[in-house]
Amino acid sequence: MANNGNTPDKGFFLPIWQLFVSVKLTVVVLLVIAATAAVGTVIPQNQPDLFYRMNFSQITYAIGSVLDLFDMYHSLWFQALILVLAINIVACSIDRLQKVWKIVFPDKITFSPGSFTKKNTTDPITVSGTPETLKTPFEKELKRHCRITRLSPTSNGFYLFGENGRKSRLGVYVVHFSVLLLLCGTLISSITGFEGQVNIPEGGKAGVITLRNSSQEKPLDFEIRCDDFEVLFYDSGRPKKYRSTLSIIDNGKAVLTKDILVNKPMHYKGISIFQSSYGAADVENAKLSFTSRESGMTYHKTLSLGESVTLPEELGTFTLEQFTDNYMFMNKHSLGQALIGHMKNGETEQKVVLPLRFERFDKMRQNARTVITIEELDRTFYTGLQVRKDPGVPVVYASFILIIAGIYITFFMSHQRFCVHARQEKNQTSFTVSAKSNKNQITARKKAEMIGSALEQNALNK
Amino acid sequence: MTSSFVLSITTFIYGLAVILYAAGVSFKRELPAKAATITTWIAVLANLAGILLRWLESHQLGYGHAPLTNLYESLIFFAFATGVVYLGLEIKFKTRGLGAAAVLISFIALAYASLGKGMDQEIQPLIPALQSNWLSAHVMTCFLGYAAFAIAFGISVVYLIVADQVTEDDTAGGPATSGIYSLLPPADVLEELIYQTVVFGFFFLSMGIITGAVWANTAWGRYWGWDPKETWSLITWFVYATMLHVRLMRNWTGKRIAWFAIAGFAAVLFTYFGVNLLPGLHSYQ
Repeated sequence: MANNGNTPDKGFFLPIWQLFVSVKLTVVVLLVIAATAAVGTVIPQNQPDLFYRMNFSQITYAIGSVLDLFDMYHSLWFQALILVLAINIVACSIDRLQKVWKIVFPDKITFSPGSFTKKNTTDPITVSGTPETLKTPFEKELKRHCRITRLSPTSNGFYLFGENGRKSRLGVYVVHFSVLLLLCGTLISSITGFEGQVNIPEGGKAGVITLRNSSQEKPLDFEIRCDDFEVLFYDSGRPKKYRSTLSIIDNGKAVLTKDILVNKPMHYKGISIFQSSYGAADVENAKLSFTSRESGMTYHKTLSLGESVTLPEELGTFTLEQFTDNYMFMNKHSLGQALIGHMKNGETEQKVVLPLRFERFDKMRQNARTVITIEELDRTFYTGLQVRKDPGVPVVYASFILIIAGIYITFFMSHQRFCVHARQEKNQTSFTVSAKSNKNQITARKKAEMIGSALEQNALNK
Repeated sequence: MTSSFVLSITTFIYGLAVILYAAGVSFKRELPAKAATITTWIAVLANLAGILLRWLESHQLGYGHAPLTNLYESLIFFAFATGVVYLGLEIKFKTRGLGAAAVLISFIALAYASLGKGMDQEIQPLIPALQSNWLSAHVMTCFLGYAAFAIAFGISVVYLIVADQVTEDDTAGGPATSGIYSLLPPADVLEELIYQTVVFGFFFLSMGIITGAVWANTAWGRYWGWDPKETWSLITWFVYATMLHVRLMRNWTGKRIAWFAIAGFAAVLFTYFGVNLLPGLHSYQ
């Protein structure tokens, strides 16, 4: 395919050049990327190392880690495949663009009747009038269908040429260029951007985030304060809305306050902040019920953390100590979020654990005079934010628009050429319309027929 | 009248259209084929009515979102899109020979939506991630693409069955008037139709992937994350990109192109259904 003078023709470079300008390489690389990309959808990516050790045999694990299959989209070999595709696109485009450029921007547009085939020619149409009288009206009519027209007389009639969409031949290069632009955009994203996570309790603030996939900490130039967090549910229990009210604190001053939702992030100094998760941060107040095992009486008390309450019937003094995110029972069973406290009665002191998930857990407490249950909790939440800087986005978005435009030009527009061949037959004129197109032959043939009947109509109206 | 009732009826209308198209081709008669076209128009309009009705129902429930959010709703839209794309093709290329193959796909999609095992037909409110204007743009473009690929698949199957036959008829004289498959276009036109439909699908798949990327960037702060659905849509895009390259640059034609369109549709099916078997953000839950 490397057959024009501008390409390197040294003995060493030629085979490499020939490799990279071949469509065979394109086909192979596209299919190899497709096949390998599928592997990464079957093997879960970026899980903790332990996950793979537990789920795979030793040999599979070894093969997987050698081939980087646990983070394959960022592996060297996968990126090398994409690089080969990029070089292939560049080489093919350079190779072909030179020729196409000469067609798209010729010194002079020429037509030759011989280049039209019989297959794409309409049946002859006979109309009254000599070619001489039809020349001008026909050209006028053709101008309505084609941007460029040329008239060329013959011994007994004329050829009338018309064409459209010469520049559409460049569409495919728009697509190829924008795919390269897209790759540049992703490169900019991965080199100059970062992505991290931070959990901020209501009322709290944070200026440091944890980077994804590396668990390194990264300080920001400003602080984010969570003024409020709210989660709403539908009646069915499905989440309806997560909303965080955030303030940006820059140089000690609150400069921007905004509500963010899952699809409505906020932006400050090139950094975007997204709502990504939430959780219970702490308990402010707990309404507890204490039921005496002897009398059966139930006493309701509301306590804040650290507060103590002395119960009647000499049941003792209860202190609510803390809220824990995950209580480990007997050091091995995870009970999830729980309130921890202790009950003091004279000399004896008992530890009390109230897991949120297990309402009747306290009934198991040995030698106890009360059963304690949680009635209501006044909790504060933390909001989980994703923080991202991505200077590649404008480049990527520009490439998106160009890809769509390029694909449209490439496939829905074509370089169509038409040839009207008119001959005098006695006092009448017989003419055919031929079409030629660099693609979409059916459409071009249809248009030739359409032009044919338009010309016939035109002649009849004379 | 509930939307699911309207859509059940629609399933049967699609089924009737398939029978009429098949009759037209088998008996070499224009009349049943013309009736099939009218029937398909009715089915597509009924399908649209079903979608709009379901939209209305979601408003009455107080949710008010376009019915494009779960497997059931996507199948209904897929059936509609396939019907619309097919009718467009019928008008543009003036052939009724391919109706049975194309409308059968709408029929199967709707039948599966109505009768599929464990199909959740309930109208659910939108979870926060789906509350976006990009939802409709993303789903509609993707499914217009899927619909075109499905039709290209249908034409490819027809092409592989009749290719030799139609070519012989072609040489024997007048492609449109002779042979068993008289309503079918000649083989080269069939093959061109496969290409044209794939191109149409490729354009909309590209739009679908891109709208999805823009949406992902506003919802999750990344335009690409190698989520299985994203990855499989890219794989599908690559398969069709390869097909377009071998056809345009290596002059592949005929059966090889038909097989390529079939392979491409297999990738579409996996992107659509198979990904639900894998963990990810798109698994219609």
